[in-house]
Amino acid sequence: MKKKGSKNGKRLLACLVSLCLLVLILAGLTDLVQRKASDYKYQAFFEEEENIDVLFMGTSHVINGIFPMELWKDYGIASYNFGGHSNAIATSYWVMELAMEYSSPSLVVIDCLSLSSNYKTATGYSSVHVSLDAFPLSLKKAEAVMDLLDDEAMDQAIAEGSVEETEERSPLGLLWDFSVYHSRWSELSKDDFEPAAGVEKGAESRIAVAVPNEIVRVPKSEKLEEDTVAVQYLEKMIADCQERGIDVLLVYLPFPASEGQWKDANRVYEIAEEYGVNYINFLDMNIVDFDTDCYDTASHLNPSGARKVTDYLGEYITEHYDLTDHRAEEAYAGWDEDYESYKDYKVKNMKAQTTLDTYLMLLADKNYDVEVELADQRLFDSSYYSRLFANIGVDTALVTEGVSLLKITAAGQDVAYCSADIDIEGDLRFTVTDRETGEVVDIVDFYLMIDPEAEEPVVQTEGKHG
Amino acid sequence: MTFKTQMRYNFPEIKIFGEIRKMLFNSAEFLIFFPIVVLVYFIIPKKIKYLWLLAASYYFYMCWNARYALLLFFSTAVTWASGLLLERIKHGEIDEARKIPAKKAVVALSFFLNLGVLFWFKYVNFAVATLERLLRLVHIQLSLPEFDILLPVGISFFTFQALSYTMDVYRDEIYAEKNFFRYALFVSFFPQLVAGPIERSKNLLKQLADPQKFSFARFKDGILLMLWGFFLKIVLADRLALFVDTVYGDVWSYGGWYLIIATMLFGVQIYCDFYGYSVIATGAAEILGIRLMENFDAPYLSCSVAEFWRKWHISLTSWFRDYLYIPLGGSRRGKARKYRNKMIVFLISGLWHGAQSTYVVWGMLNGLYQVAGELTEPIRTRLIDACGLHRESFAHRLLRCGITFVLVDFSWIFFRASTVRRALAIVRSILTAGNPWILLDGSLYECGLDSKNFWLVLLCIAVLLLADCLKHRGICVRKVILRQDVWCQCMVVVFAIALILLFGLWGPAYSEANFIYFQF
Repeated sequence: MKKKGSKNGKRLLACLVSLCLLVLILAGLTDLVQRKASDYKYQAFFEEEENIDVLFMGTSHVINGIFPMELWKDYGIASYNFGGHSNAIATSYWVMELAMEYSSPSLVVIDCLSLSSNYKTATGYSSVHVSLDAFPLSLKKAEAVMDLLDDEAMDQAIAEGSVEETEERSPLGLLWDFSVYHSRWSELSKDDFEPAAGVEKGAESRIAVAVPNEIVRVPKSEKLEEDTVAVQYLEKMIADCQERGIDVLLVYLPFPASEGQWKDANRVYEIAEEYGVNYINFLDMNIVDFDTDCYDTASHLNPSGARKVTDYLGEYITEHYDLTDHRAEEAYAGWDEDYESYKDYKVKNMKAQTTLDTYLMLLADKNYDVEVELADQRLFDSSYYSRLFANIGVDTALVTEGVSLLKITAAGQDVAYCSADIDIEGDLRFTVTDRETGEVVDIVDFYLMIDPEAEEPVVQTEGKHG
Repeated sequence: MTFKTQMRYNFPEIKIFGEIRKMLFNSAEFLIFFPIVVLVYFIIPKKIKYLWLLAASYYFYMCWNARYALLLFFSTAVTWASGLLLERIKHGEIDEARKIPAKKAVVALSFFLNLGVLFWFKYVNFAVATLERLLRLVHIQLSLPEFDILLPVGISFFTFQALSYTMDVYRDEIYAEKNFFRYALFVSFFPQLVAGPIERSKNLLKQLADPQKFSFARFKDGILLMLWGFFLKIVLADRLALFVDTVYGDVWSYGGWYLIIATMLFGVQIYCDFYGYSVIATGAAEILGIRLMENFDAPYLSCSVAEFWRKWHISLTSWFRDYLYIPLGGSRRGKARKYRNKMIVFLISGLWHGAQSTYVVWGMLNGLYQVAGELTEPIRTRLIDACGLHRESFAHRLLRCGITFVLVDFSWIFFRASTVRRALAIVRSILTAGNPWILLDGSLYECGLDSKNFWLVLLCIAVLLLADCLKHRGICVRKVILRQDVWCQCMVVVFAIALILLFGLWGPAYSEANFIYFQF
């Protein structure tokens, strides 16, 4: 009898050990084959030992439009960008709920784009993965997934064929993403074995300059009337924050909005008033210049635009909310180290540019001083480049024939128009200095190629950055 | 002027347990359903175990189509009643001389009702279309209605299984089961309900009447069987399907050597698909303490088409042998009758697989292979003797094995192609293949499988071949594993699960491919 008992015990033990081993192996495989986009975005958040005071919620407008590291440098605000590509507000609600399992913010900033939507998730399902994959499995995550997939409008759109179902929208895929990604075994690369983490605290610098769509304006009186699913979830977000004693700031970030989007933005005034929270409608302000600050024609801000919005928000938040400036705190020393990585990343981006327009756009950064040596001034005949120079404070009317050197301080805080003997290889030479350290971070020559048939001259480097 | 009318034939909608999805073995639903069934089965008292399995089996079937459970019930009721009637006639107080015709009448009625239902759901449209075609040959233009009937999953399997019971009772090879529910479980036992093996009452009914206690040894055996089945299905068969479907889906673009490779791979795909299902079914039943018959025995290592058919889909082939070939006279009444009987069996076997002329041609081809094989045997024997070849030598066996594969694989073209015309076009393209470079220039990696997946397929085929060779030599890998220490067994299971999950085609990004044999 005793022997039988011990045999059964051994079997039971073997089964339990096997089960544990299986779980461990699958956990390892899950990490390995996982698409790394979500981890890249959130890893810094999960590694954060200090509390994060401000969470930014919303869509790609937030990802590309608000830079937490700039807020840290200039205002000492510890924040994280939780924007997700094409996130519906319902998705933002659940991302916020999940994020609050790991931090206790004092302020949540919510971008109210897509207020007229009845979907709970993005139409591109991979975006939902990016928003949720990195959050560890928990009851809250299960609740989030069950709610997000209970989406009548999306089901109908898929049935009608207006939304393509690239992946079966099943809870399994979001709760255990190995079920989706295991087929990636054949495309694993070094990046999967040594995954990188983002250095922008959830933000993404998209580097391009694009001429935006037509800009329209709609008066405040015209607004979205329907109580959409997005409106309901926005109200839920505000109510939940208020219940937890967290301040809420509603924003509608700047972009060349359509008429419908203007109406959405106008509806937010009503919601803000109802809940007694602040609202910044950037559509109604002239913070950014769409001619220089967009990276695509549709809507998104490039780093030049993002820095303007981030700066405005930094001022506004400091003025309206009682947040601690953590810069001098020893506990937040890690953020200074993160900022150094961020600075290196910015310089790397700068050195990667081969065309003058994107280079000029990146120079719209008050952390740099720039010297421009000019051998050929014909560039200033171009309205396109003139606007980009104007974006860093240069008044092209003042660039007369005798001017061969421009000394630009802090992205146009001050500009000196000088004449000097220059000896450069190309037609323009840029020398960029870090204002804080005085270190020259980049020297590059650009070559001007004028084609009389083309609308704008082409200005390129030979890829030699100093 | 001709026109067609369409009649929709539907059972009333039955909805229970809300929205139910079809339950494939390789679905998440089954992985939840099966452990619950096993756990409850071994906890509840012995007396009611069969009722639990019956409820589980009907639930399993109704996940596919709740309405068609009525057909399952009908077939069960008819054959159960036929068994009781046969028993009553046997022990009844009627003349011995009248007993045989009475019993035959009962068998005939049971066959008529069951095959009638099968005919209606599976063959009526085919019969109508064939009739129209035949009449057109004699210049009679007739327009008959076309029935919109959804083929009930597994109908051919459970109908044949139920009919075997009627025959077995008639032949006194099994007692008539008095307990309707136990008998209903025999017809609907979920592991083998929708794609076999087609069990015999002599084996399954007796086991169901005597439920076993939980056995750890059988549990391990069952788990290993199921894992092997999942490997065959989701790692190999479903991956092969990506290649085969790409090529067969566009035979005009993928000609010649593409079709040769795809046809060879289809031979492996259908084997892995069907063998995989049978093995999972056998493993699931083994865990429940029930041993199902073996359905495949390394068929591609056969040295003749006749041997292939003794090792392929054994449960169906033996069904035809016992209930059709032998009643037709088998090989007892001369060679001509024997060949006729073989052709009849294979034609019907073709039709059993589907109501399409492609299946008829496929069946006919396999019948012809066997008849031709027997007719040419004396010449072949003389030729071999004249050449001084050693029949049992490895090279000779390998050659025969290769020829058998080519013949069988050739017939699969008709099985896989959507029409006979298309199958003939494929044959023409294969016979005139003039693009051998595609084997070397990487073109094969653009037919649904990239290079890594293609080589994974080849590696897995090598594993399957090795397992089959060992089986052929009487070595069962499973038994070898089960002889090892429990820790070693556990490691094998853990790594097998991990590898199947990693390399298998499953999950939300992939829609589970149906097992090919469900449609039959």
